[in-house]
Amino acid sequence: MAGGSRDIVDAIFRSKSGLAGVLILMVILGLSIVALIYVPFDVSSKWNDITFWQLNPRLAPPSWINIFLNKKLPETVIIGEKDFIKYEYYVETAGLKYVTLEAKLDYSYDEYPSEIIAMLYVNDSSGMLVTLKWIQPNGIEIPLCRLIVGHGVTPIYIGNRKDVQEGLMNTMVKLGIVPPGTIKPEVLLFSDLNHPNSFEVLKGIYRFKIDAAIPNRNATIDSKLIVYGKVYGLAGTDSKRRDLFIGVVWGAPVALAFGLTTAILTSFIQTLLGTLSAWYGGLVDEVFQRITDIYMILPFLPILITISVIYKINIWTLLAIVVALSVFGSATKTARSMALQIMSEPYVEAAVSYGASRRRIMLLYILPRLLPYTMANIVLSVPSYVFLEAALSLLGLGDPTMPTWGKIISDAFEGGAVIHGLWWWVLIPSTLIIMTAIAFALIGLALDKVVNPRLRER
Amino acid sequence: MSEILQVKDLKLYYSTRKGIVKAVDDVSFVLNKGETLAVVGESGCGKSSMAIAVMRLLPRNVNTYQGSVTLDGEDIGKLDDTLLRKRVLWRKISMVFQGAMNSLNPVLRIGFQIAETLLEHEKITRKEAQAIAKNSLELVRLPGFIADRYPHELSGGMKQRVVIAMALALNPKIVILDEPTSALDVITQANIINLLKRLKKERGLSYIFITHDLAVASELADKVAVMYGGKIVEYGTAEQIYRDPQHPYTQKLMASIPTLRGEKKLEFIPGAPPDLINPPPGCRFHPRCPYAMEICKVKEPPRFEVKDGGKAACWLHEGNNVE
Repeated sequence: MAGGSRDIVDAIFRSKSGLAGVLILMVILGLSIVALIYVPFDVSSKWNDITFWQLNPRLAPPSWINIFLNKKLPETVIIGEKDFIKYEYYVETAGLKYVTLEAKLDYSYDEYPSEIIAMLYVNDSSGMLVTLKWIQPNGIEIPLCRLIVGHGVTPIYIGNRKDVQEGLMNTMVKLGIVPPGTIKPEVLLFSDLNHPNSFEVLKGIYRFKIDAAIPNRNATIDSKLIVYGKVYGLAGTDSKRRDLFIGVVWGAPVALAFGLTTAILTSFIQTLLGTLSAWYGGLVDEVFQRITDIYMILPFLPILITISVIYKINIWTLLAIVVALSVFGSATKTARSMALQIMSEPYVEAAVSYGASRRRIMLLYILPRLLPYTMANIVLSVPSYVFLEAALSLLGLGDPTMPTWGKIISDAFEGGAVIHGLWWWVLIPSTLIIMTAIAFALIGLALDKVVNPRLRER
Repeated sequence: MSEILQVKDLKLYYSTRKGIVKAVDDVSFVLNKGETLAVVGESGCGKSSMAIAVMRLLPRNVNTYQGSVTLDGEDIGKLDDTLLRKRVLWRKISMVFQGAMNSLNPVLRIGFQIAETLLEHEKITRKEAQAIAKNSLELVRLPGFIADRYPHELSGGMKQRVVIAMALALNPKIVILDEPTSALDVITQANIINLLKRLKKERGLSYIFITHDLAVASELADKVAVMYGGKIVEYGTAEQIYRDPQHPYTQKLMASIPTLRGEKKLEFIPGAPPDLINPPPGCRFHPRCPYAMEICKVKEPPRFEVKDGGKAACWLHEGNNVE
């Protein structure tokens, strides 16, 4: 078994399965690198901040499903403060300041938006009288609401307002149309009010108008209109409007880091202890092997549950606990038996005779021979640790602050994603977990040829 | 000639599950400067164990280790392990292990491995050690680029040369060669033997040459020790032993050497080598000896002096001086 690290790399790249595994991993890692560069905020601190995500639609499927549908589902349209045309004038005689804001919205989707919210920003506390109007492409003007707005930010949930419904009803009555039974503002505002029962989106340019009056010369108003779509991003959103794409790509390095760190640490520690066990023999060997036996039958999950009940766990303490519980394990046994075999080889005896120290013999003569085995062991145990993290999250034992794949699946489970058919919420993170497992399994398949001499084609 | 190594009453017993294996039992011999002592005998007669006992490279299951080894006037039995390792092993006495194929670490480059032996003993940098390693490769007639190769890239003969270069790296006075040519073809064997001869001449080395191949031994040996059942049964100059062996075992051994041509019927020794856990009483050879007498079965023979300063442990020579 004259195998070094170079042999391992060679074997991975020479076999098709190894190459495929590396490619999959590269794609996942590439995504997360892109995410790290393009997501300009600290995800771990913002993930649970509801206000941060308020501009996203709720429970929207990914926007690429438009490719597979013959209808075009709307994406979220945000009309910012600068997109409004603003007129301001002060009437000295009345002592009133008038502000008019108008924005245009080109709507050409086949489905109605999910929500409409207008944000009003007023810089004065004396109270501003604001009138909102909606003008459809066919020229029908619908009064939305009339209210007094104070200082600061005021969100107007157009879909939930009684006065908006009344305004719609009055408009239809004026047109001589019998209003339909249910009046959903998001629907009717985007339908031809001449035919309100056709439930077809009226495509064209809509206008949103704000008229405001306030008895203060310096006061002004700004607005932002958010027309929530029905699709969002590459991976959709969850019930807290969070962008799942950011969640899953942010989860990739976390999952890989968790899996790799745990796998590397446990494999190396187990191999080292197995080698020491063989090297010292006698009492040390006996003690190490019996401890290994005990460790191998220790119930992993109950211990973890107990610890997470007593202490607040984050993902890195979880890692530490997993490593601590896997200090001894099956690799200890394998490494011991391999080390016993290597130790009896003449070159080790030769090294002893020319005066090599114990440490040197361990590091230069025995451990390098165990390296190919350890490498394969690492690669093969990475997916199991990724699974473990996901499983623990699903049990509610994971890190509550960070978006990991397991955490997202666990959220989806709590949000009833499966019952309500919110497939993207479950399938996207689970696909990534499966892809990771497949990638490492494929690499492991390639490595098998290095480690298992019977499979070698030399 | 001056004595360089004196071994007296050396014992090495192993404890196994079946009992105590008396692998080396009361072995004594003397090695002079610039001399080659060939140790010959069947497989399992304790040749390699004797080498290990001289070097004090004891395995874990040693039961008894006794006797004195005097090297260059210094009783190395009195040194502790670290001192032995630092001052004696490889500086004064080194060893070429049986099966050169396995005596090299498969994951280290050749130059690195030779340098290792130097680094353990001398206060030099790795760079200097690598340079010396390259030189010592030239000493065994290997090109310098071999230093950058891995063991599996070398042929058997080349590996054997590397192992010899490793043994010579620190200029020892004595080299123990444990079957250095047993796994090689005859051409390579001849090459290695010539190399050993040349090195001996150039550097004034003394060899203890362990082999079961009497023909190879005759090429190099000045003295020959014939081992049987953990004991030296006959000891003498090469000339005397090859021409006129005195012990019945040596005689039988000589008779069993095949010749290249000729109609000589090969003889063999009936029976098997003795069980070293439970050796036969008296002379250990008596169950297979054609001349066995009553005394052979009860009393172990001392070493009687025979002609030309040789010694033979056989009752046939009773009446001669006892050593």
